[in-house]
Amino acid sequence: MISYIGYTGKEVPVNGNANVSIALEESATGLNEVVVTALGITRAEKKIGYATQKMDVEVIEEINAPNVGNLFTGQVAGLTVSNPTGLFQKPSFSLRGKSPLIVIDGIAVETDFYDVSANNIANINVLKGTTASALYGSRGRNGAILITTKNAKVDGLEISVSHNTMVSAGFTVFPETQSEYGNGSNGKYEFWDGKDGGISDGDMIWGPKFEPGVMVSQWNSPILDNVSGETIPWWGDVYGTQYDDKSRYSRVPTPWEYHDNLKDFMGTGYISSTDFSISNKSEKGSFRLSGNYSDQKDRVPNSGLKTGGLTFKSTTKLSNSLTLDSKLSYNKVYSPNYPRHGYGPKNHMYTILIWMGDDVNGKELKEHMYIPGQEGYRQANYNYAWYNNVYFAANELNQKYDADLINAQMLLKYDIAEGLTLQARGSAVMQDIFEDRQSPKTYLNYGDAREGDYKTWNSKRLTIDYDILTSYAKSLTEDISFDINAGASTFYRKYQQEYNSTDGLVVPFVYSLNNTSGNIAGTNYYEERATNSVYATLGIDLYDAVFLTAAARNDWSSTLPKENRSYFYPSVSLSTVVSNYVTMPKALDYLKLYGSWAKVSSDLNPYSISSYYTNSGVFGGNIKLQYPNGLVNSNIEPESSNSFEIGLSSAFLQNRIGLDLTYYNVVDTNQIIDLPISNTSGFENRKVNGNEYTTNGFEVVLNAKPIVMDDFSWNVTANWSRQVKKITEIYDNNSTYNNLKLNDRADSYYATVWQKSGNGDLILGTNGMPIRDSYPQLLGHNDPSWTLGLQNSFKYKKLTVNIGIDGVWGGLMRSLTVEKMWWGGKHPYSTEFRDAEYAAGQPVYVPKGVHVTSGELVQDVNGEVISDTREYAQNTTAVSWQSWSQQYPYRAAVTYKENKKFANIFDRSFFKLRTLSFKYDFTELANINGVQNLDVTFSGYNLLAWKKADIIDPDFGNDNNLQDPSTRYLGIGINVKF
Amino acid sequence: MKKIAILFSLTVLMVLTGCQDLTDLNENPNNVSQTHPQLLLTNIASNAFSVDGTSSLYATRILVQTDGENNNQYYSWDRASFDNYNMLGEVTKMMQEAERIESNEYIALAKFFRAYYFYNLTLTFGDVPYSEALMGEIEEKYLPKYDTQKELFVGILKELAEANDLLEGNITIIAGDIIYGGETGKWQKLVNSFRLKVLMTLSKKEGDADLNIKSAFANIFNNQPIMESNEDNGQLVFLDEEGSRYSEFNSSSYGSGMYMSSTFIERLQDRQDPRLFIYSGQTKNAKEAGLAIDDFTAYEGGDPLAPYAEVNDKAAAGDVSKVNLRYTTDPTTEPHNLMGYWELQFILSEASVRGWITTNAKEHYENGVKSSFSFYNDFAKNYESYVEPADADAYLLGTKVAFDNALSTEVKLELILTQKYLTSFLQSGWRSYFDHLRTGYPAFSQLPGATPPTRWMYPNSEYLNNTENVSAAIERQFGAGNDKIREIPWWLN
Repeated sequence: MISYIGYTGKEVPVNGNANVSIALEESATGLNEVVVTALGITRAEKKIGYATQKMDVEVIEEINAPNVGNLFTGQVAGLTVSNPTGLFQKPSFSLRGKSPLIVIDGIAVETDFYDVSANNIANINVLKGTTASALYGSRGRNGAILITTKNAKVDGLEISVSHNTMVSAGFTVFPETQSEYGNGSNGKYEFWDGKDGGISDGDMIWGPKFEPGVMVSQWNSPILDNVSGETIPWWGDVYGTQYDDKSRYSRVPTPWEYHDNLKDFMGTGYISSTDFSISNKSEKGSFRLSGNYSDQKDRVPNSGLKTGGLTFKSTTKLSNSLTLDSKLSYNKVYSPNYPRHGYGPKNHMYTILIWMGDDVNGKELKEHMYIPGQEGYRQANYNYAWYNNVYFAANELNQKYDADLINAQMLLKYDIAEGLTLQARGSAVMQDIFEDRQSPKTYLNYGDAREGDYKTWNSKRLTIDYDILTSYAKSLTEDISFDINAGASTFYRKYQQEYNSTDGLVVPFVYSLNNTSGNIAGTNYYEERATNSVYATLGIDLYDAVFLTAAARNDWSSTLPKENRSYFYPSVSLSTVVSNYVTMPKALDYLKLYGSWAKVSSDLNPYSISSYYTNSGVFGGNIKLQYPNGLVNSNIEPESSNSFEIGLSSAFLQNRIGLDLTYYNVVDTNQIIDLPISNTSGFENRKVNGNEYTTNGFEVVLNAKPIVMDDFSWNVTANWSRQVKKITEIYDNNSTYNNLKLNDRADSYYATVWQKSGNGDLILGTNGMPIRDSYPQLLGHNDPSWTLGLQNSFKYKKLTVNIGIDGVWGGLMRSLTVEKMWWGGKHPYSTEFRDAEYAAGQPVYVPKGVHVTSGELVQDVNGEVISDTREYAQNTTAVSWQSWSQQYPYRAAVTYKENKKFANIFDRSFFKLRTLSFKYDFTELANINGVQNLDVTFSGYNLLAWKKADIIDPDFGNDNNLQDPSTRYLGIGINVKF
Repeated sequence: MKKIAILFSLTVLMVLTGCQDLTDLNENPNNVSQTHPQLLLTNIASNAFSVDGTSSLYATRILVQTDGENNNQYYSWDRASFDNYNMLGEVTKMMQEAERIESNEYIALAKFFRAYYFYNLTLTFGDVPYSEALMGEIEEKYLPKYDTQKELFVGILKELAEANDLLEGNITIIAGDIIYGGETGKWQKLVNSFRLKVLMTLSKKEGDADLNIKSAFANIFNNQPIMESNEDNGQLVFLDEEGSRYSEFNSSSYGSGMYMSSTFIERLQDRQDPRLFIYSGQTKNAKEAGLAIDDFTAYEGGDPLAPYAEVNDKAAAGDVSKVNLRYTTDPTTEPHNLMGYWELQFILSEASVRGWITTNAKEHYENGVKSSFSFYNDFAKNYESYVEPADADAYLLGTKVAFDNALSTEVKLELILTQKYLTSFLQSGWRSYFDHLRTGYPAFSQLPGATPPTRWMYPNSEYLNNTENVSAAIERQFGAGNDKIREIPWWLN
């Protein structure tokens, strides 16, 4: 029995021969697996001298997440994905702490993944370090996610059709609120005009308790005519009507009851996708035509997203030596209306979750979006100071997004001679987006006019990439071979945008610039950039055990000053398969060691080396110009990063266990920073080259096959990573950079906190309220301490079960939701002392803390204590519970450690059962003629969460702008191949 | 083979022609790097002449907040910002563009705006960077030293004098002028009136020989053109157009938690001042009872010293007035005055009482009141009838209003500054607060033992970015580490 890792074992009868020559066949999986690297060059895995990791695309095909990118979560050590919860809120990626380049079929693209069909993805490989990406120039300096789309795989004609629908099934994280008290303040409320013209009807949810028999005048209470005794059904205020006369009309009190408004508002959502493909492969070449259509309906009413596309890919052998690969794809991303997010009255969560008491009858808000007789002119609502009727805002304001994307690509490859090829490639990506916003009259958005509005945005983006590449590979002897790639490329990008806006609408519901009552305002923008590059790589293979690769690239960028526009990226990597020349313990099948070093640079945005006045609006027909706050630097140099990485790749116990370890160190130097300067200089910052950041990271990928049996197998992959970035040099040897001090973590979390005594007691003022510290304090760090991904795959006969779990540990996260819930009175804990205080008619809550009885604290400008003569006494003063709740957990940072109940800064740690799928292969069971494959999948996405933070979903990435509830999806899919 | 060669040549050609002239590509087609100063003037004037928020109204006991602890109302503020330097950066560019085209009138206006912003800055903090400030771009000075407050005032007065000289006899129409429609003469009057305002601010420095305030004041008053009527007001008239509407139009904050202060309402009631109806709305209960607009009992305020929850209870009971709705529902409401004619008249009246000029203090005082009434008569739609000239005349006879030159100096000062204060509803920023710090008038109610803060702490950005200079300024003025809000700056010493 002769076996060798990466090769299929072979039994050869020896029969006494002294010399046996055996040719082992390469196994389908294993070490000679090729890896797609930069510029689409493929390399055997063993020759790679830097960390790369493949994603499991099976999961991506089986599960229909809101965005393909969501499914990258937890798949790759070092790749962190934030998954916002709202419709059309795209995931964001951080690879070793930086934002990676996305490459599809060899071409760097700008994509939010809504225009990428999951079913077209053949494989995804992540190049983690800078070495791998040195060949993409500055765009690839942060690593790259390389996506290769599917080609015809099998000879002959193949047709496949698949469909998958996922439906919302409850919430994985749903924000809990108090459900005992409604709108108002200090326990009182009465509606009149919704802006404090009644009793505290302008703001806050600190009103009366929901109790049987409580009757209150509300926004939907009927109007009583004191003179005629008649009652008139009414919704909203009475502004501008005959009823706006309190001496004659009043609102008849109606029952004060709780409504489960958020749950009622959030409907059922679904994501449904259909794909087909036709492919053919023959000696002359191959083609694949695929199409997809996906329809997402959000849980927020009147909002959805439709995406679809057609892709044609072909490979044609023009002659024996000449091959033409071409690709043409068209994608559309269309939303007739998608929800507004962010902290403000456009966002449904801002209204329902934070600022609308549950006394408001949501059903009636929905049925009566306008005041009787004022359809189109005035919304009916419970508030007219700060908030919109949430159904009016969701249904009557519409914003459209309509994007067309065309991607055309051609690659001509010429095999000139044995080992020598020449290829030329061109690609163009065109994106055209139309967006508009139709705002009805009285729609309220702070700072905007309330007379109705229509805005349009037209934007266009064109990117063109050309490159030529020549490759030569030769074996000098049996043991020594080399390959050379040399090429040149040019990248051009153009972006333009036009914007137009009305100033109020004449007639309601007519959303046209022609319907403006004032002047139309418009702006446009145009931007171009280009980068020219040359590059080369050299690979040397020695004794099939040592592999050396060196690469060099030079870029010339249009955005930098002429003298600094040229920059050079060298890189070198070495890998060696130790197990090929050193006898290893029996359990160790394979051991590869590798190391690499690379330097990458980057440039600026266009037009950043001179200062320009910008238009800041108009006053009375006079244009206003303003000068930027930042000083430019016409001598700015490209920034650079030096990275160094070592690692090992190993396999044990007949490949049952694989372990990859990587350590990396990245030193970012000569960074292009906006150095803060005293704004008394007339500028807030200036562009300089400076600061140094050092990142140290460690990544582990463990793959195990604990059970391998004929009928049952279990495969598990665990990814673990940790990285810390510190500021290790500050410009001009300054002692601070913003809040950061030398050797601070770059993600240090400084925040305004409450003053504490030397013992850490909270200091309270004479009024019993806490006092803010004038110096920001370091609370911890933002980024997680480590991240983990766990992919399990079980196979039992025809059934495959995939389970994806991931999470992060440590790091801090501020919660705006929690802060605002305390302020507004929706926080679940905010009910605690309300009844007692209202019953006593005076404050009963005595906060824990101390008063300064004498002495004072003197600090220098660095916050260092010069003298502290303070004496303290325990606080005994009771304060209004509402005032306290609106101050302590809202107006400064309170960590979990400081106070569990009032915390607004949380530990980020969470783990999620992100994906689960059961796939059953029905091909044999169904046994339909012509059907080569038939499988059915039950799947789930975002199923369960364990977290340390209260109320919010940390997987969102942050909570600075509120979050939609985190939806759980369950679905079914079918996949047929003919 | 030949076809292939052609194909490849074409491709290589495409790649080569793809290499563009990289320098041309980086020329910005969207914006200019040089401009006429008029475009900067509009931006600067619209900022300087707009309503300066409501913070000062809480500090001067005109408003109270009921849905959160207002730091201005409870005198618990700490740091203020140096944002005015950002506007000064714009002024610096206007100066440079004006010098480039050699336009004296824009240079003069740049000097005026420098004086205006530096005046506000030094009153807010004390010492601030002046002589080395705003040289980031031209001299690469990124860490300016702090000048003493006295140096600032000397510089401010000098720049205003230079502005006056440049405007003297200048009849060029200033383009882009949204304040005076390009009339240079009116700008000159504003510049000189503002000089008088700055000098009056230094009333505690009357004995300072370097400044010679008294004679400087008289000299300007006697020899230079100053504002002569409401026609000359340094005011911004708002328009019902996008970007030109009244600063507080549609402002949500007026819709909740913002009420009138009892002390302000009572002052107006005590004097039977009809401007009450223009500033304030009726209480809920008064409205329900159908009381007339000019019924003084229809208005009531909240106690600015009480815990805000208590005021909220009173408001909930329907007994606290809100700000008059006209400030948020009318897109043009009323012009905002950086400095109005009435302010000048009150300054002159005070100067006369102090013996700086030899005019009739009573006449100035009454002119001030009359021009304020006239302003609201012109602009307060639907309230014109309460502020007719006859109403002003009657008002001036009132017990707490009537002015007699024979009264004691302190009584006269109290009358003048109280009337000046009553014109500061959403007008002229922090003026009344600084007047109060300088003169003690009008008295603001205080909690026992409490005093109003006399300044703000320097911004944290200076602590971080200009550490040594700000430390030196703190140490020089108040002692090391004593950057506190109740330290006394030079002008109040």
